[in-house]
Amino acid sequence: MSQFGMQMPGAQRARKARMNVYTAIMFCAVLALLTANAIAYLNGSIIAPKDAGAMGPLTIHEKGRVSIAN
Amino acid sequence: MHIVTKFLVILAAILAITLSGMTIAYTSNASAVADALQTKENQLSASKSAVNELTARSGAEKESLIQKNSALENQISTLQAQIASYQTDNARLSTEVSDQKTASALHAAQVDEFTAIAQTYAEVNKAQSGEISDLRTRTLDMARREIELTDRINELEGRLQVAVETNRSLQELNVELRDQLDRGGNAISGATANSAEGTLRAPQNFTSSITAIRTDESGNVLIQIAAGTNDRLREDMKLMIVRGGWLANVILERVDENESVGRVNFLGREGVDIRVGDRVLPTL
Repeated sequence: MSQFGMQMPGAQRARKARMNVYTAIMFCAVLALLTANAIAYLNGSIIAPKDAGAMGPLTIHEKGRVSIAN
Repeated sequence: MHIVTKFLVILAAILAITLSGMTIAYTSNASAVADALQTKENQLSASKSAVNELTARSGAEKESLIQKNSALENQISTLQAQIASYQTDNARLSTEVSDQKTASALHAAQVDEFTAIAQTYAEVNKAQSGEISDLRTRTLDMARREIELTDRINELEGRLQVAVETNRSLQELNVELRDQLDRGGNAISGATANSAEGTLRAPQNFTSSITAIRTDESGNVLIQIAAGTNDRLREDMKLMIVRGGWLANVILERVDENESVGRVNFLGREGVDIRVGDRVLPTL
């Protein structure tokens, strides 16, 4: 019954999960990934194919035909 | 694990996947852009070389064109000078043409006038032609009469000449007879015999001229003629010296093949001039 959140008599008291050091590390990692994504998006937009729109940083130039926005 | 931690793990995974995709695309695009850049740089280098070559060529052509331009400017200045000269000539010729037109008009008027005069003269000439024709007919008649008269005069002159020569021969004979009468009656008969026997008659149609004249010790005049035995001349032949008329007689004393010498007989006349070149004939 414990799977349903019920406290059975005589059962060990359930301990609540707490944020720990790993939570902080993951938070830092998420910040770093956000920063890296932002920088990669901006720079990728510069050399992205022309007329590719918002998905430009994820689009690859056709072979032999390089045309950038600027 | 705390729910926040889970959420952060999921978010980190999503961001990692996104970052991976963008990194792959970025590196691929960067490589393509680098290749394109290299290609463009090569093309740029080739273009620069071509531009340099064209610049050099254009510089040479520019220099050549400058020289041609200079030559053309010189030609233009020369042609402008010629044009100015031609314009001057044109103005002068225009003036001359104007003068010539004026003169032409004047000449046309003169031509009309001359035409009228020529017509008048033609009429006059026509009238004069008739008169000239009449005069020519009269002139021909007169010429015919003149010819007849000239023939008549020549005939009379011939008769007169014959009479004069006959008279002269008679005078010669008279002088000879008078000389013989002076020498006496016997002498006359001897001279007549001598004249008949010693003086031969020269060939008919013989003619010659005096080539030399001299005088012997006794004062007799001797002449030399360019004829001799080849012309059937003999000694003691009697010839006559003529220059416009009878001058004297000559008796041949020495006759060679082509020359002869004779003694001149003036028959008592004085002052008769015998010259080299006078004709020598058998008879008058």
